[in-house]
Amino acid sequence: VIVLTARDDQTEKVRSLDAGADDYMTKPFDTEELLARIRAALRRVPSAGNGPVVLRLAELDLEIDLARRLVTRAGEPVHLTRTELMLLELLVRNPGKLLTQEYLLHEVWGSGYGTESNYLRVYVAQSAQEARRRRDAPASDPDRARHRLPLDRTRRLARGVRVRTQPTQPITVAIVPHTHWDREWYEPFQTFRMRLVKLLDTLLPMLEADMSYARFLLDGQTVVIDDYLEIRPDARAALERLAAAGRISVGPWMVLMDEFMVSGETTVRDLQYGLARASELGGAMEVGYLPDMFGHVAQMPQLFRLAGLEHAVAWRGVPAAVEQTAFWWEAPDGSRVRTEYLYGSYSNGRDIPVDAGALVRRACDYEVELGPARLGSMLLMNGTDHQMPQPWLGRVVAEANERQRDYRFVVTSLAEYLPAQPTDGLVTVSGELRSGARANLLMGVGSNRVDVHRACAAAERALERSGEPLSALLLPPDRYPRHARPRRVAQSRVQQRARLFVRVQRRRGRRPGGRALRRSASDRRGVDARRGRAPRVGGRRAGRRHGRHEPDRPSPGRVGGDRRARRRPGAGRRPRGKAAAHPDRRHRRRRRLHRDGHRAEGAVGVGAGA
Amino acid sequence: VSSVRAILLIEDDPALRRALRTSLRSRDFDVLESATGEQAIVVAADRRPDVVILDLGLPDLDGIEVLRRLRGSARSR
Repeated sequence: VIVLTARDDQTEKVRSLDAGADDYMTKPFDTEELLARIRAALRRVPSAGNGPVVLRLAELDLEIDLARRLVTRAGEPVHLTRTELMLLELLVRNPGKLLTQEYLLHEVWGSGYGTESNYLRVYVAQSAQEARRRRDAPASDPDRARHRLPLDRTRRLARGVRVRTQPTQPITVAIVPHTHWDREWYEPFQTFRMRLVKLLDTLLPMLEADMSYARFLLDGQTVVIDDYLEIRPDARAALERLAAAGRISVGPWMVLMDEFMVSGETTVRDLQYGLARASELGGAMEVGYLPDMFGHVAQMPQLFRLAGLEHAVAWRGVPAAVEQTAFWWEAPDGSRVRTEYLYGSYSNGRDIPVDAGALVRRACDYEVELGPARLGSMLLMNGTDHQMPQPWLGRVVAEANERQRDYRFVVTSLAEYLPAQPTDGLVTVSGELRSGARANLLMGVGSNRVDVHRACAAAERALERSGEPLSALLLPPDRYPRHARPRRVAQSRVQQRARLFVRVQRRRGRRPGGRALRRSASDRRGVDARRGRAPRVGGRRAGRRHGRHEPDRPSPGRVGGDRRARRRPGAGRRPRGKAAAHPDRRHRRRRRLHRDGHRAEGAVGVGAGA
Repeated sequence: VSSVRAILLIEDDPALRRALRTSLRSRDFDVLESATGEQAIVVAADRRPDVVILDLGLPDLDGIEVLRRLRGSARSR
């Protein structure tokens, strides 16, 4: 350390050198002199790899190169995380000394830490367990080279070094297995549907056979169930059994819409239809689940309350004022719901490791990450976009609970977890949640295609301002459609149209590498194809009629391009057959698919009831 | 193993920082920068610079305190 300062009095120099400075220069200074002093300082620093920064513990055949952060045992590299290496370094640098837990936490985790003794227990115990496991494994274990460092033995070796920890109350780690389902995005609807079929074909027998894989959340939208049942009508009984037992959480939404892309009425219907469909299946999840909407409308808490839901779950749009993992969210009318903020997103517990030790370390790291944001327990959402269930979850959770007492892992559902969470002292947030402070909101970007958006807006208006008001005025009372009657056959045509629009709105018009405002004919035609045409109300084509009278308002397209499409353009798309051999043909084929979306769907024999 | 040496420049005056950065970079040093003491401690712990150039008059922490913490952590050489 070279101090370079304008302070030139003797006491400052003495204080600095005593505090650990190697050299002292005063401003103004000469650059050449500073460079010479830097060179001199560097001569005193051992260069990487050959100085006393390499520690050798002969008894263990262990070599620790602190400069290069390399640890080898018997010449084989030992993989350590940064935290493990820092702990090891502190321990071996202080042989014979008693190091307090406060000191270790402060040094390794940072100045804000000192009482979190469970971190130390987790890291030291995990490393020790791993080491024992490796030691007991046969020498021919091909994984042997990757064993973790036996910190406990190092500890014993560095005589007198002990880590003192006090046991604390275990922290509950709630793991909610789920999947997040974009019905159409970087793959066409039918391609994603086939994946959905594969997922549920795997999940349903697994849930019925393995009680330890206790719960599964089907993304809060009932439409994925109907998408599945259209292909697998025989699975209805199993689905209903599991839903009625609360092992599969369905609803409350019919679809996860973009709240700023649809009318208020569509939002209400979406919730009504979702709740009704879920009740047919055995009961809706009583949680207002908003995992990935790009911001939230102000009245959402009111809608939830009116629907009888007391809890919400949100991620995007949560403002910086929310400094913990929950808050009260209040609508303009004063109704409020306790809202769980999904810290780190709806996939903060994705890819649960197969190894119990790794799961415990993950919980520990997450606890560190949450810091003061944690309200007692921790919620890990075990799933992400189109994630398949992880069959080892139940086993790894049981093993992790057996091994340690710092965390208590439970596989659960949001409906069971949330009511038990604290409500005292939560901050209250009113109105829209449209802050980009905590998660990207893609400001000024709407997740729908212009043409789809227009068609839907025209249809919404036709229903809300003509169809239903006229029905109310002119139909005899016994023929007026009741909202969300739980039997499809009992629905009026108006209701069927309404349901169609709710479904269509959720289909985000996104494709690989798609440009923001690029029109895609298949969006429109796909819609038309699946459900006939845009709705006729009073015998006229609603879209056309309203198109003339409505001011030509451009809807907010995805101006910035698609976030996820940019991140992994064309992810998962693999050419097959002829298409693989001829990239040109593949392009042509894809164009044709776009143009004739409906025919392409018919061709694979799953016409989606079109 | 890279032979490039890392220098951490802790200086709140951006003009001086830029000047030093330019001359150090031209001599093939890897220059890390920090305008505050707190940030410097984080950077030092993370990147382990070979040499630290420290201004005593920083906006947040006293330079002596920064020195103590750099030394206390025993991770910055």
